[in-house]
Amino acid sequence: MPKYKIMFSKTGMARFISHLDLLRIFERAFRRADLPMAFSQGFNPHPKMSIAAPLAVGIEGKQELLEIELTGKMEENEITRRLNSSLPAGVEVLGVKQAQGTKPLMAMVKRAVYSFECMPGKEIKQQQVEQAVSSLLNEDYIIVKRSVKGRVKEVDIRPGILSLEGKLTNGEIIIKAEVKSGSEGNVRPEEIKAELEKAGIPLGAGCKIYRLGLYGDEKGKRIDLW
Amino acid sequence: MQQKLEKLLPYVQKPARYAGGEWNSIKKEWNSVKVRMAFAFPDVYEVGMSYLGLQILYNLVNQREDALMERTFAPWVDMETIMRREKVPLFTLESHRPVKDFDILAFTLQYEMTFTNILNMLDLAGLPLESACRDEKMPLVIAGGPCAFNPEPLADFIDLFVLGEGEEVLNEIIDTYIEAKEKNLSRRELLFKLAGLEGIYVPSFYQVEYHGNGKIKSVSPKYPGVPPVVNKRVLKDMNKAPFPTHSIVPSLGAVHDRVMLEVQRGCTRGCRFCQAGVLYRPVREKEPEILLKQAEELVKNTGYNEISLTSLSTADYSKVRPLIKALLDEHSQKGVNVSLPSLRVDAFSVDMAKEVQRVRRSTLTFAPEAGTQRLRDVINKGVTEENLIKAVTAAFAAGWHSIKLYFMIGLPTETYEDLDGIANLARAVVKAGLEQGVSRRRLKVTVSASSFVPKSHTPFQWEPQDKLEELRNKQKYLKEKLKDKYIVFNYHDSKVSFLEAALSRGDRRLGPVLKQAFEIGCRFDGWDECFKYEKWLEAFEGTGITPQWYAYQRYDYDDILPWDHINTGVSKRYLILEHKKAVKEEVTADCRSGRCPGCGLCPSLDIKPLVLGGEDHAQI
Repeated sequence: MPKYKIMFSKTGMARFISHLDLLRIFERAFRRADLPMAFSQGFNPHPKMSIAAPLAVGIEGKQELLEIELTGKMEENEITRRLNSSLPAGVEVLGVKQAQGTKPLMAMVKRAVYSFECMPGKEIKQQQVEQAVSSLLNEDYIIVKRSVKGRVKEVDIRPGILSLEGKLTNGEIIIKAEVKSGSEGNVRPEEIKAELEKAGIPLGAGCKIYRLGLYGDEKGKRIDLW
Repeated sequence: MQQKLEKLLPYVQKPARYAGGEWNSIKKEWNSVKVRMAFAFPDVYEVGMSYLGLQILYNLVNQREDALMERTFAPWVDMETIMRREKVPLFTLESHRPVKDFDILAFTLQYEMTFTNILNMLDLAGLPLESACRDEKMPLVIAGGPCAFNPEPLADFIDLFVLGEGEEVLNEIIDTYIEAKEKNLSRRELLFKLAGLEGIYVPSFYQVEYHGNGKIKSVSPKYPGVPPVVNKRVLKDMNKAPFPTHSIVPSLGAVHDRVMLEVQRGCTRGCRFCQAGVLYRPVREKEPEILLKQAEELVKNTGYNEISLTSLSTADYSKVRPLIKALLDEHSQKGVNVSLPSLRVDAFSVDMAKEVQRVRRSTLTFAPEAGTQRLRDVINKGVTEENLIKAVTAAFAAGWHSIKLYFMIGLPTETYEDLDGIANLARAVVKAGLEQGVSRRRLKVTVSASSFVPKSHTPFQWEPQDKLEELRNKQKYLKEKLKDKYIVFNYHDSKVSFLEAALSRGDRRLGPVLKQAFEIGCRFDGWDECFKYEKWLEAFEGTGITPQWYAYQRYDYDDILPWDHINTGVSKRYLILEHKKAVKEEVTADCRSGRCPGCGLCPSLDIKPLVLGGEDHAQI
């Protein structure tokens, strides 16, 4: 049965929708759009659909990926059109492509690019931003604490930070980070934010965080999943 | 406001509760209408969005060209803290506008333990709590729903109560509001006009006098033209009632997150503890053809994968079998299931559950309510031990291995023998499971015992609640009796039931107590993690009244009850008769049986039960 990749965005108030709720929203949108989802076998059939990488509540996703199996082939533009007239405010399909190969998207996601737009709590200079960024990059290791199933674990996120840039535009701090994503070496955006604050730049409470895109990795090089 | 919210929402749990923008939600142009209503549900989003009444009224108002309705819910405690700190007033989800900007603020009263949330919401909206302190520019604050049938504890805070079904009267309220606005009438003149509508109760137009012993001496209209007794509203024909086929699909998993197809309104059984059975009388079944059409549109418009057949007692619906069959034929291909929210205690219900549950859920729930035949006769719950054993045997045989049984403790005339009866029934169910060969590892019987709360307008309205200490002893006794490796016993803190009893049979003197409870921090009293019993006791202190006086009061038949001026259509004479029969352990026939029990409703409200009947008529 044909598999499709769907690129979508989750912006505005919709960024407060959780991962599981988003899956439900898509399932319902497919049904409203009368798109024939393929279901798993067994006692409790569910649609063969997966979101490539969960996005934390509160972060806007600019180019998120979802994969779904349909029971029959359909024209890609038609899928886009129908979904976009069936999705709630803030969730929008940007494109649909038939998926090639058998490897699930979820297993192919290795990198994510995030950006942060923050109004600092106090006056700040471009130089301070640059210094904080380079001091982080100069570290050999950056240990963060994560609680996994109720137990606190220490993780070195330095190897997971692939690139980090920062600048000041009209008093607003803009950070761009490319980090490892997925099952190996995953780095969370709020960890980057916390480390930058430790390094001396006050990002402030009202930071807006975006995930700009998801990518694969082949021998240390970023590859497009689209 | 939206920008401010976007900054604050990252700091609360489940921010989608406050985001809005759900599928089928309606945001109308503010200036395109004459009346703006905010529907307020005094509990969290997930609970409120599970309430069919919200969907019905939302659809009804938004279908009008001259009116709009938006929604607001009680903010959870974390959100309340932030709203107060950041000075964000209570807002609606559609336009994120302050509730204070609306013309009408309409609360639904589903449960007494949400009353402090209502006060909190008024306060968060920036409105004075008491009606008398609100000015002409502030929204008209109205309330409806089951707890409006004893509205007295909220009389200080709510401008008017809507009694009974809102589908017709809400339109009349809006029309009257528009007319009053065009004529530049004052709030008081508007209230006078509204008080003239059938089903509207304006508490400030009534005077209550008390006897020296605290009981009520009289409740009377203060002004000519105000009706001494207010009748509830009831729809004549559910088939013609407006029913939303574009219901809002919540963006956050609601408690009931599925198509809610209301197959009938009302229940004919006449259980003597049950308030809903009185309030929603008479039974009115809907035509299966109409239901099928509504189900089809709902599935298409919502994308849900489950259709729940809702009503007070769905298994009693005459056409339930053919309806289920037709729904499955139509929808199961597309992965859409049918579900039954409540089962009657009989094999017929298990048969139906078997039919609809492609996916075998592990647990099936039944509500025998009382442990002995004697006590079941007292409460008029027409269920026998044989019914139950047949039902669970059928369920075990069909592959279920876990059964849940609901009981009430503290029912009038209850003795420890009746508690033994609960334990015996539970053991009989275990025995049936073992006999049916359910694996010993998986067999489970869960017994849930809630504490009886006497409710207004029921045959038990005169009865006292069991004392807290007694309820605790009964729970302890049952816990001991139900020690069995296959049985799990659940019960709730009876302190909540105690306060519920005080409020549900309360009068106007509770207004200051509610206000005080709110002021010292009571919120979400129906939620275990928020309920603060000591704060409630503190709220009663110094008011000269006690919750015990209300909860433990045994009223006489000739006492004037705080809700006697509210007419459900069921006569007091009939309730007295039923109460006397209860004490004599005599049962009353089901209204469906054709033997009219004589409750007085049909002549009083000029209405008739609508029962379709037919081949597949459920056995009584």
